[in-house]
Amino acid sequence: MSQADADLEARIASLLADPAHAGHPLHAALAELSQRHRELNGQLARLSWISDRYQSAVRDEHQALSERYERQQRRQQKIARISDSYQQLQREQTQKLRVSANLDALTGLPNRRLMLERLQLELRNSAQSGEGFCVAVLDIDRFKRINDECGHDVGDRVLTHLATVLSAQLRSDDFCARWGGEEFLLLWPKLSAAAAAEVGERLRAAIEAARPPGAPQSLQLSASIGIALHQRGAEIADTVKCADLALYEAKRRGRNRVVLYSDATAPSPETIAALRLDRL
Amino acid sequence: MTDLQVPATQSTPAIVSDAAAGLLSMRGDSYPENSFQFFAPVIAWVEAQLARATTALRLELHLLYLNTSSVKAMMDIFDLFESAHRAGKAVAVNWYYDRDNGRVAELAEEFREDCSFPFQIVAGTKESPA
Repeated sequence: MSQADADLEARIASLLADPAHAGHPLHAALAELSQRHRELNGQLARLSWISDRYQSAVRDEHQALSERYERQQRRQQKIARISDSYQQLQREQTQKLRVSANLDALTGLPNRRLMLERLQLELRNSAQSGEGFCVAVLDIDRFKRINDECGHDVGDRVLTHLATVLSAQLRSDDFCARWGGEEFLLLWPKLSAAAAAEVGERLRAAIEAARPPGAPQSLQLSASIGIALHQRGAEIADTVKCADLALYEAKRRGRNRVVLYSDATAPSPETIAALRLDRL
Repeated sequence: MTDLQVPATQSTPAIVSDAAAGLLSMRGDSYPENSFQFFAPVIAWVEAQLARATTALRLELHLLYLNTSSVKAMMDIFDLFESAHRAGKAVAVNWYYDRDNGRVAELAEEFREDCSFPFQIVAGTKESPA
């Protein structure tokens, strides 16, 4: 109730109480009006109180909901963040697996699988550009003897060292893989047969001069290399086979040498069979 | 209370519980097709265990990969632990990771952020997985 209301009520109460006004015709009407006014004021106060209560309940509920919403939102963000990290972790692991699936564990060189992919790619590139490429098969001479006489540790060190020697001689487009056991395959894009024979000779000399760390002084390392120029329209397998035949010819001629494949130099099947036994 | 004995599969972890010892362990990768179905019995077991008046509960985790819904399930479990901890119960989590895979420890750290109960991140090795 306002001060003005309180003053008015006090004034009316004192007028009604005054004996001088008793019996006045307006006395009863004023008394009734004053009573009615007090009742309405009371109702209004009660209504305001209920309304305020209701408003504050709504406000509290809104507050609680928005807090809950924010909490949920923080939680969702946290789930997404952790989940993203897991996804990243998995991606990295996949990447690692992909790398290790394509590399030779001992030498770190590309393995046979990656080389086959690279050869197919080169086949397509070469068909488009019209430029030729050469493939070489390189085999360490008498590797079995190294393993038998010096132990497999030394054998492994020879392979690793040879990978380093070969890698050092590669141009950026060249590709070198461990093809199997003591055999390496080299791919030389955009290289003529004559140039490939020169590169092969350089590799042969580098290997002959190499001293693998940890290998006995007496160990004389050498390798035989067979090279084939890819013939347009041929399969990759055919080119690799020609390089392999040239390699057999290099072995037949006394090892530690480079042979470029030609029909004339291709060894007979009997020679290959004999050399295969010898290479074991 | 029935204990859990869930063998590991390619996509779900092995889960073993021991109500008497107050122990629950999970080991492996977790990317179930239906995560709700997979974790519902685990969450129910945790709730039942925590509802017992005097029990303690230790959770031993050897988890590697979790998909999104498994991350959510783990957070639900940690929420139950948090409430129990605030109610004065003895709860703890030990999260083991392979020393060679430190990233898993970083992820465990992220889970631990909002937890006030004892939560250890423990390095092990492949040979002796802690």
